[in-house]
Amino acid sequence: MGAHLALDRRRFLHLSAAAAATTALAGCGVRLGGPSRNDVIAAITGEPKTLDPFIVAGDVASSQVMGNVYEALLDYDFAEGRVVGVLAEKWEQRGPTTWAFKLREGVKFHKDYGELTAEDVVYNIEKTLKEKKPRQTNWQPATGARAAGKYELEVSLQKVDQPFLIAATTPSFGFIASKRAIEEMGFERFQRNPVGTGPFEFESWVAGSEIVLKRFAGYWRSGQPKLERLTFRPVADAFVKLAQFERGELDFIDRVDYKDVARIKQNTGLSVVSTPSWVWDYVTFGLKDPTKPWAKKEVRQAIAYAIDRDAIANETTLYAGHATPTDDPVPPGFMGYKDGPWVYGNKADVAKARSLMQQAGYGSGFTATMITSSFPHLRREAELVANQLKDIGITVQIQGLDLAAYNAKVAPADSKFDLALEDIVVTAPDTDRAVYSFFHPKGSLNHGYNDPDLGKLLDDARLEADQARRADMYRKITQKAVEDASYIFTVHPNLVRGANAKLKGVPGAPQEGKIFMRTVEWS
Amino acid sequence: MVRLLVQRLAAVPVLLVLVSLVVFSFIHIAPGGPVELMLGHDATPEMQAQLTRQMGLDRPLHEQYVSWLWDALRGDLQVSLSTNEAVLDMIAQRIPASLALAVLATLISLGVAIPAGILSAYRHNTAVDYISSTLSMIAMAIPNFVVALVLVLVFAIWLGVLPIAGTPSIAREPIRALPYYAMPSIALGLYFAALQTRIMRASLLDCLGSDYVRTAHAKGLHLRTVLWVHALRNALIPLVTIAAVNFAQILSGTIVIEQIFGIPGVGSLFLQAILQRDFPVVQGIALVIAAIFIAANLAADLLYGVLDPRLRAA
Repeated sequence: MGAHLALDRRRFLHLSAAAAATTALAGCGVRLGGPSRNDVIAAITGEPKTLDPFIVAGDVASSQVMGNVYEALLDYDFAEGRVVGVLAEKWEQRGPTTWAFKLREGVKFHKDYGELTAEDVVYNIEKTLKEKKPRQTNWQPATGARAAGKYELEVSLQKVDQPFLIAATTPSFGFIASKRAIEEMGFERFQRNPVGTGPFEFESWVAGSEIVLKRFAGYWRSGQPKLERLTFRPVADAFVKLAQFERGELDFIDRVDYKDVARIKQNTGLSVVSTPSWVWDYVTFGLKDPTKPWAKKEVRQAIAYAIDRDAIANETTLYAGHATPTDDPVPPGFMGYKDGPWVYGNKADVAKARSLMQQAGYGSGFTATMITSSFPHLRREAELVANQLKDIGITVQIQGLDLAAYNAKVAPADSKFDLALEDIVVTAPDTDRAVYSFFHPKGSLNHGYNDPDLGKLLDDARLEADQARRADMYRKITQKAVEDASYIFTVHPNLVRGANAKLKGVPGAPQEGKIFMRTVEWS
Repeated sequence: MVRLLVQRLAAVPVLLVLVSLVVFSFIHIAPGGPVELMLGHDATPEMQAQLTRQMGLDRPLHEQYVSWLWDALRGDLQVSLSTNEAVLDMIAQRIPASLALAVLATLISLGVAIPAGILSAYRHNTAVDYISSTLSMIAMAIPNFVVALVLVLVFAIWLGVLPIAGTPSIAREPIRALPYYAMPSIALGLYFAALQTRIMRASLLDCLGSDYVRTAHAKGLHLRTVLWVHALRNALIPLVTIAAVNFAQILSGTIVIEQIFGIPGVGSLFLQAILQRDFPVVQGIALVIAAIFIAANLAADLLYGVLDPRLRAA
């Protein structure tokens, strides 16, 4: 009897193991990368809200998908640091307020929606402006567009605006959709069935589960894309995302937790792409109340000196070395960029900071609340900064808020907060986008800092056509803004993405919303 | 019984309006709105005001609520502020996943609770009972997201026998989707399994000590017959009724688990909508969940009547 029982149990275990292995390999989709693969499964951090190119701001996941379906007139070559033509092969400024574009001929829209013409581009611009679509934030200087031929068009601006070209006509604000598709489908249906000219065409969207794109056979760049299929899956939990990546269920992941980079690097089947980004972290102040200690410039400067930027960049539980210390908001390669600190060093200068606190009359310190949005890395950075400010007698209480509540608290109309720590990404590769909103008296992220001269300089820089003079203006703006310390910059964190080691051409754009897969292929 | 049912049904609309009013108030008391999130930091105050007007968010709150309620009464839960999609369609796409999760979690909890509760009661004050009680306490004390992460570690990473995320649509591919629901269902069901084990044990012990069971013993019936035929049926009454309520609790508590396992249900949509301040979506989901909650409570009352003839007569 006992022998039978033992045999049965053993057989049962064998059968269980076989069933489990079958389930794991077949039912669970564990796959191995290799030459036979021609698809990629990429994790994105959340469910895209929409695939409507007229709504782009504030939703990284939507941009990540749309960047493979849509194209813009121009693009910014991150490697070469210059604007390049995409749907437009030529462009020129015809007078101070007119831009002319010559479209590439023979570019087709997906799903047999015909050839791209000037009429499509004009329709996209006019719809954005007339219906005041959310992406008008970057199209705002334009008053309209008109076709000057099948492949030629002109865009008129209400006034001279140097950042316009790069801010409006590149991804993600400049995506061009098919006019015919919108009109035939109706706009509501089109929002979930996008039709662009990009390397991949939309196939399906299972809400909350995955978005599938397939290779666009009529794509205008010969030999691209290399992949037949591209699947985006929203995976919110970092632990689960890493586990799936290590098991081969995901070929590409973004927002790799910095502390996991070393672990991924140890796995020979996986690789990490760590790219210096256009994101920066900062501490800022509610400056509407002149009685607060931080209304004094010396106190803000003291805080700027007391922050140890090196420590933030290298903290193992935070960026673990995947960040560049900085005291200014201008990313490398931008107009007016200067290598190295403008005023405050990468290491804390506590003696200098204490002296400034004494000078301001706050030698014994004060207590303040620091708000931050609920992203774990920002919370951790807030803890580090709070700890560093103890050295100059400032006691900081941290309050975490979700992003909507944070935005409401720091809105310029109120600015009822003490200190805030947050990060932000430059939306377009023009220095205007890295400084204007923050330091112009009417800037949307100005919390009470008022320097009319700086405001005028910011306005003038938008009008200046001479690029050398414009760069010099931005250097003056940055110097003054950093000195006045209404915003204190700490680090430019890297964007870290993970990929199967057999994937070639993995994108490493400095903006999180850009995961362009047209050149990616399996080796 | 019929009167009870009529009374309950009459209260349903009032309850739903109250729930919607409370949710509406809370979501609007919370600071922040969708406009800043949609436009990003380059938007001017004029653009923000423009979009606020387009969305109808510049109207007085009471006007917004009445407008929403009027539409809801006509079966229209309005459209999402973020995506312009009909809220009813969004919920219809997501509810099968959440319902499947809640059903499986309920089956798991009952599947564990009934035998464990019977065993504990049958062998009460023995080592089996103590072990069962201790395990129940532990299961009730551990938050479900911790259970979820432990399950991932053991079954997905160490053993590699279950998939983690990337769940296919349960409505379109039920067989392929089923393995993806195993760990989330266990994580959600474990707490309720423990709770229901305690209820099952207490209820059965109560029945075993009652007069009619003593009479059955006195008649010389076999212990198993007494247990299975006489005691168990009555002991199941409180368990079945609480299970109906637990089902609704599970359904309204799936947010974290759906988020961890990437289950495309209403829980993750609800969280996203709250973070985006997508008021119509929050309102719509809250209304649907409340309706299911009320229906589950009603079902519990009816079940009680069906299982207990005394109540049926009353």
